[in-house]
Amino acid sequence: MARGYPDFEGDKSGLYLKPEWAAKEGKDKDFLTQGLNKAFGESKDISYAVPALKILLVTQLFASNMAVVAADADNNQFCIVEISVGDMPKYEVGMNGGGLVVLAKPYVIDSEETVAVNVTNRANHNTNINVGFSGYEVDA
Amino acid sequence: MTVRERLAKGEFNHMRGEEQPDGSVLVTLTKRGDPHVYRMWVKDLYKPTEVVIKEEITEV
Repeated sequence: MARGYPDFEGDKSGLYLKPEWAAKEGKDKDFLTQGLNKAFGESKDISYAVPALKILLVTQLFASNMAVVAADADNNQFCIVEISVGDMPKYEVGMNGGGLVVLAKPYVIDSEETVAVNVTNRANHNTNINVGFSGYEVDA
Repeated sequence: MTVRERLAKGEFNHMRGEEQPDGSVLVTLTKRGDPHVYRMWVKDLYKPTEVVIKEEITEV
C-alpha cells in the first residue's frame, strides 16, 4: 500500500499510555513493604531516593490495613495514606481497609529527592499494613 | 555493583522492604530479565546513620 500513509495493518504499530510504554522499556518501578501488628496511630512507610539525573513519576499508590485478630475483621479498618517528599507531606487520602489510588496526573519526584508513602492505622484495633507505590523513572 | 549501589542507581524494577526483628529492614530488588535477586539488610536507610549490615545476591 504505497499511498503515502503509514501502514497500520496487522500488529505493526499501536498507541500506549506513558506508563505502559515505560513498562515495555523496563523503566517501571514498584515498591512494597509491610508492617505487622500496628496499633492505632502507628504507621509504616516505604521510601526511595531518586537517582541523580533521573525523575520518578508516581502513577499509583496502594495500601491495605487489615485486622490482626479475627474478632476485629468485620470492623472498620480506617487508615490514612500519605505521600511526602523529603519531610514535606504532599497529600493524603483516607481509606477503609485499603485501596488503590491511580493518579491521573503522575506525581513528579525530582532528581535526588526522597519520596515516601506512609500508611497510618486509624482503626481502634491492631492491624497489619501493606503499603506501596508504582511509577516509572526517566532521564531528567 | 553492590546491592546498595544498585538501589542508588535505580537498577531494578521491584523493591520490597521487610521489617526484621532486630530493627533492620530487608530490602529485596529484582529486575525483569535479570535472573538474580539482590538482597540487603540495612538500618536507617536514607538517614545519616545508615548502616548496611549484609548483602546477598542469589540466582533464581
